[in-house]
Amino acid sequence: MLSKITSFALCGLEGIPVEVETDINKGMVSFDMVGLPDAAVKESKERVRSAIKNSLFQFPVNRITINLAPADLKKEGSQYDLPLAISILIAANQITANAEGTVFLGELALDGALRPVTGILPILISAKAKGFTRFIVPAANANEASYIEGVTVFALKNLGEVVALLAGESSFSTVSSRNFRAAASSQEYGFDLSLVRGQKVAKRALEIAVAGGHNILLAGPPGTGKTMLARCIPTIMPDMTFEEALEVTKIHSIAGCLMEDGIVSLRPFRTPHHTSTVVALCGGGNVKVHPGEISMAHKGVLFLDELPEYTRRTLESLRQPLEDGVITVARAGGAVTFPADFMLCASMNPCPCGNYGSAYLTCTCTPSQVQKYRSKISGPLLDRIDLQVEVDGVKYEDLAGEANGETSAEVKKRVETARTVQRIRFEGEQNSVNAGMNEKQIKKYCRLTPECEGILRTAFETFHLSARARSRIIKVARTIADLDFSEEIKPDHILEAASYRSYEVNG
Amino acid sequence: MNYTDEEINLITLCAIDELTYNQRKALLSDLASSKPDFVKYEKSLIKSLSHGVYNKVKEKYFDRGFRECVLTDLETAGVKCVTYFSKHYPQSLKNIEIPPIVLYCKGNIGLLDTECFAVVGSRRTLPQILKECKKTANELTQHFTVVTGIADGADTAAVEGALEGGKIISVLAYGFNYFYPANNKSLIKKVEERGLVISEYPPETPPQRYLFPIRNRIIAGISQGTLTVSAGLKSGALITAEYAKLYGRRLFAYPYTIGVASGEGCNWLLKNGATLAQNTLDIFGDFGLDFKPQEGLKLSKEEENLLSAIRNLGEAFISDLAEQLDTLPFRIIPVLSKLEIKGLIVRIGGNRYSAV
Repeated sequence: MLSKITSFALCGLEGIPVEVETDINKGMVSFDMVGLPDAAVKESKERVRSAIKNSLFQFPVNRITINLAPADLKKEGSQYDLPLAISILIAANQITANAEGTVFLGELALDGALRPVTGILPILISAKAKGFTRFIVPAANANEASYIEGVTVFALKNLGEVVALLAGESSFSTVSSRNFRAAASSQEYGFDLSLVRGQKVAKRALEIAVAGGHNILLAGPPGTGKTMLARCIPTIMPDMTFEEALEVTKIHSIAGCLMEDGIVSLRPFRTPHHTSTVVALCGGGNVKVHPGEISMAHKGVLFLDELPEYTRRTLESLRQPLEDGVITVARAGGAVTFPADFMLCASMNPCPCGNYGSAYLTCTCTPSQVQKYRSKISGPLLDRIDLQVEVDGVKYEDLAGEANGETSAEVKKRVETARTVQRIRFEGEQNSVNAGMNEKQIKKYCRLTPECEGILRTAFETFHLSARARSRIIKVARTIADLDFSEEIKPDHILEAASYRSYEVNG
Repeated sequence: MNYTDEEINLITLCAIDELTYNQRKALLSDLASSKPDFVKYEKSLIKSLSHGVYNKVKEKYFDRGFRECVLTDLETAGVKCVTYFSKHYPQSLKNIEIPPIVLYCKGNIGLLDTECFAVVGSRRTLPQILKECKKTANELTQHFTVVTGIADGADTAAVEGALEGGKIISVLAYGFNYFYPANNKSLIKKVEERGLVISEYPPETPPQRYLFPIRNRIIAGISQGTLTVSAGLKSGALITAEYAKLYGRRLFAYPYTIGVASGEGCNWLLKNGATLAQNTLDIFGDFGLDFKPQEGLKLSKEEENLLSAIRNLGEAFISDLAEQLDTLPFRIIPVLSKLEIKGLIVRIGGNRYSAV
C-alpha cells in the first residue's frame, strides 16, 4: 500500500513542503530511500527501524521504497524521522489515520521518543503562509512554536503518542499561543550603563551611535572598559518588536541555538573571536548553508574586539553586508540570502603596546609601528564606521567611587524618542535611521545653514578630511540634533560630530 | 646643468663607491685641489684597498665613458650637484671639519645662499609640541630657511610648517633613489617641488643606520643656529645639537616639564648652556632680528574660559574639564572642536587635550 505524509525542508529561511511517500511491496527485503537524502537522512533508516520496534509495532519485513519529493531538492537534517516512521506504519496497514494536511517534524530516538529539531519557527511561518495549519512537533520545540497564531500545533513526547493522536484520541491538548511581551519582559541583559565608571565621553558617543543606528569604534588602552561599554549597547537599544523578534528567532532557530524560551526577545550581542574565518562570519557551508555571525547579530550588535587582529579578508567581507543589511551566500547548490542588519561595534588598542595617548603609561611604539597597526583597518571599512571615539584611561577615583551614572533605562528613553523622530522623517523610505541615509537624503534632510557650512569647511581643511568623512559628520550631526529635539542642525551639533573622528586616516 | 672640469672631477670621485670619505679627501689633499693625486697616495691606498680594487678605482676615474655615464644619470634623475668649488656651496659648511665634497640637490638651489636655521627633534614627540614646532618653523621663515631631516615626528612637523613659503631644506641620509621612512615619500616630493632636498650621497646609496648621525653634521653645519624641539637622552637630535655646539653655532631648546622622556635631552641642553626658546621671539631676539607675531584670534567668552581651564590643568581629560566648568562633557565638546580648529589646543589621545 502507498502512503503520503507531509514534512518540510529549509532552504535558507524559506520552508519548502516535502512529500514523504512510502510504498511497501512483496519481494526481496530491502529499505531504499530516494530523493537526495543527505547523510543524516540516510541514517534515519536505522533510527526509524528501532523506534518502530521499541514502540511495540512491527517493522515490515518487505521491500520498502521511500521517496522524498520534490526529488531535486537536497534533504538535510533529522526532522524526517517522524514522517518516515508514520508513513511506514500507514503503508504497512498497522495504523489507520488521516494525516492529510498535517505537517510532521521530529527526530526519533531509538526508544521512540521525539527529539527536538532545528528550524521549527521558520518552517511554521512559511508553512502557515502556504496554507498548512496542523503540525505535529517534538515536545521540546513547543515553546518555539507557541508564538505563531492561527495554527494547531501538537507537541508530543514519543511515537506512541503521535499514533494515538492520529487514531483519534482527544486527550492531547494543542500548544497554546503565548504572549510575546510577557516572555520578553522576563529576560534581562545583566549589564547596565550605570555600572560603567567614568567614560562620560564614550557613553555619550554610544548614545548617539544607537540613536542613529551608526557603527562605532572604541579605541583605548587595554583594560579601560571597552568591552564593558560594548556589552551595554543592547541595553540602550529600543525593545525589539514582535516582528523583529520573529526574524531573529528564525535565524537562531536554524542555527540550533535557541534557548529554553523558544524566542529571542533580547537584542543579540555576538562576539566572534578574531580568528574567525570569512565563512564563520558571513555564513556558508558545504551542503546546508548556515547563517554566519553577522546574521546571528541581526537586529543586534556585532562586536569585533581587537579589530586589527582580524584578517584583512574577514574585515573586507563585512563591507557589503554593512551597506545592504543582507548577505547572500552563493554555493554550488544555489544562493541563500540571510538578513544581516546589525550594528557594528569594534574596539581596538591605539597601538601595538596599547599605551599610546595614555595619561599614565608610556608608549613604547615607534610612529611607524603605530601607523602600521592602524592601517590594518582599511579606509573603506573605516568609512562605514561613523563614530570613532577614544576611551579614557581609568582613574582610581572613578573605580573607588560609587557608581552614580545614568542607568541604561534613562538613556534608552532618549534613544527611543530620537528613533521616533527618525521613523517619522523616513516614512515611506527604505531606511529608518540616520545612518542609512544616502547622498540624496542627506541633501534633503540635513540642510546646513551658511554658518554650519563654514564650520564644516574649516574643519575639513584643518583636519584634512575626506569627502566621505564629510557626509559622515553630517549624518552624525543629524542624530545629535535629533537627540537635542532640534529641527535644524546647529553649529554645535556639527562641531560635536566632528570630534568623533579620532581615527580618521588622514587626520 | 653645466659643470666646470674641477667640479666634474669631484663628482666622478664621489661616484666611485669603492672609496670612503677619508680616502677621497686624502686623494684631494685636504680639498685644496680638485685633481686627485693618485701617485702620492698610491701606497696607502693599495694598503687599505688591495691592488685589484685600487686599479679598478683608478681606471674608473680616468675612464671618459664612466664620467659621461655618471653625469647623464644625474641629469636624467633631475639631480643637480653643488660641489665644494661651486659658488652655491654654503660658506658655513666649509667651516666644519668634514665638509661634504659634493651636495646632491633636488629643488631650489638658491636656498643654499640664504641664512639657514635648523629645527630638529625626536620621532616620538608629544602632539602639542608637534603643533608648536610647526608654528615655530613657520615663523622662522620670516628670516631663515628652515633646515631639518625628514623623519616622522618633529622633522615632519617642521617641514609642514615651513613648506608654505618654500623656505625649507631637508637633508637626507641616503641617496635620492630611496625614500625613508617610506610613508614620507609624498612629503619628500613636496619639498623637492617647493623647497630643496640635499644629500651628500650619490642617488644609489641605500638608507643605513650609521649614516643618519653623520648626516646630522650637515644640518648643524649649514645653519646659523639649531633649535631642539624634543630629544631623549640618547637621540639623533642631541647629536645634531652637539655638532652645533662644536661648530660654534647658537643652540636653542624648548623647555620641558619633569618626567617627559622626549624632553629630557632638551633640558640637558638647557642645563649645559643652550638658550631657552619658548617661542620664536626668543630665537629672533638672540639674533637681534625683529619678529612680526601673527594676529591673535578672537575668542568667545566660553572659548576663553575653556582655554584657560586647559592651560591651568596642563593636560586635561574632557570629563575633568566638564567637572571643573560644572557642565556635561558633550556641552563642551563643540567648544573643544572650535578651539582645535583654531589651532589653540591639540588632542593628545585618550580624550585628553593640551593647549599649545
